[in-house]
Amino acid sequence: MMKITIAFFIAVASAALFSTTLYAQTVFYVQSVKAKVLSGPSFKSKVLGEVGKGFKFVSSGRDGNWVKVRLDTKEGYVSALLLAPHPPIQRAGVIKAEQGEIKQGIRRRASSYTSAAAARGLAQDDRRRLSREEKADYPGLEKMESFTLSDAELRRFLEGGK
Amino acid sequence: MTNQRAMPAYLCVLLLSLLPLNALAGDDRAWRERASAGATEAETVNEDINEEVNFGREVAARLIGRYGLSSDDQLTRYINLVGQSLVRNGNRPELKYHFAVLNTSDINAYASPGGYIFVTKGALEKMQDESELAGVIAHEMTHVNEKHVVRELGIRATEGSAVSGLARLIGGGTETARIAFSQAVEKALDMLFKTGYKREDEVQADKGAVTLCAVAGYDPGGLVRYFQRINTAKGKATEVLDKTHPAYDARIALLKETMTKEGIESGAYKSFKERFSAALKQTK
Repeated sequence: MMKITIAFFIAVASAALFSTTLYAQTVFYVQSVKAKVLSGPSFKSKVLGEVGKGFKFVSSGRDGNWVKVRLDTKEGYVSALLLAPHPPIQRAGVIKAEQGEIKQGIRRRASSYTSAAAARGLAQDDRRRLSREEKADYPGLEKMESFTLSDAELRRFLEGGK
Repeated sequence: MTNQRAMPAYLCVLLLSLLPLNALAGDDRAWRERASAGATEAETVNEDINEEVNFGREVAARLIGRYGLSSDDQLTRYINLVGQSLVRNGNRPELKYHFAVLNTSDINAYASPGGYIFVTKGALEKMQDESELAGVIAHEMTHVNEKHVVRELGIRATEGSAVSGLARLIGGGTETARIAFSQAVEKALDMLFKTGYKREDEVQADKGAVTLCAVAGYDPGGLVRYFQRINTAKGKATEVLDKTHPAYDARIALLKETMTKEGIESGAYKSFKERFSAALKQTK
């Protein structure tokens, strides 16, 4: 019985040590505009502080959808929904790729779909779907992409306005 | 005899202690593997994002081709305002999200990789306040944020991907690459219209939706109310929705459980009923 107890405590101690070591190596960065650090793994917990996008946390554990972090000297929790294991990525690369060559490529590809479908011998049902239901509307897509909101508009809306 | 009993106890505890570690390590393992493939981390990630966005554009163009966009600019503006309120609180700042209303009486909403989110007119007509709309948009956003289609179809920029090599497609790529790309787009459309996402992805999207709403200040219960309402609206308008999503009773139960667990079942959350009614009234 004594040996079981000793084995149990050794196991728990080594597991805890191992967990801490591995968790300590996990870094998370805030991806949202702001992130609250709470005293427990629940939105009802006390707010210990708030950090901005790009803030780096070294995680010491996890509880469900919550990441255990340190803020100054306090231990707290941040929703995993707001974090990623890499720094926030700038949007610039995407925008650059969306312009010019990519758009040309998409226009070029539109006509290639028919030959692709023919090449692999689509069933008649699939061909009907491609030609009728699933036709691509690129002008519609560009209209959707061209819609913009100003920062002022969004700020007014966030403050409860229309 | 004692030793024989002690060892399994030790092993059991040790094994149990390893389970959460594996789950945690999985989060960033894929990203780190990608980053170590040769290119710098930033380059690798940017290429993957470009691939995701351009794949998503194709799927989005087909969605618009199928249903058409609402020509109501005020309604488009409103749905973009609600959507961008949520985007601020998401974990994909690298994506430029776009929101639009699809011109159909079908009750549904769709997400295409790269940040293309659609809500149908039929769905809007079933909603009663802004938190319900936010819940539906947040559900679709979670599909994008968690890369459900991207992961399912293996869309990435590196050579190992079935849909890799957008550059090859653009710069006189092979027919094989074009076919692979085209087939992946069709698979994505099949997921949206026929087969649906994996059940665990739908669960994650539901859980993520209520949490995202709460972080943004919207009443997370809005999604529950919306589900309860459309659960009774059976017919042609919900045909695709019913075919591609789990049963509502189970989803509602899961949402309530998640809200209690996360501590968001009550609080100073807003539903913006008047603003929603005013926005939709303007459009009629």
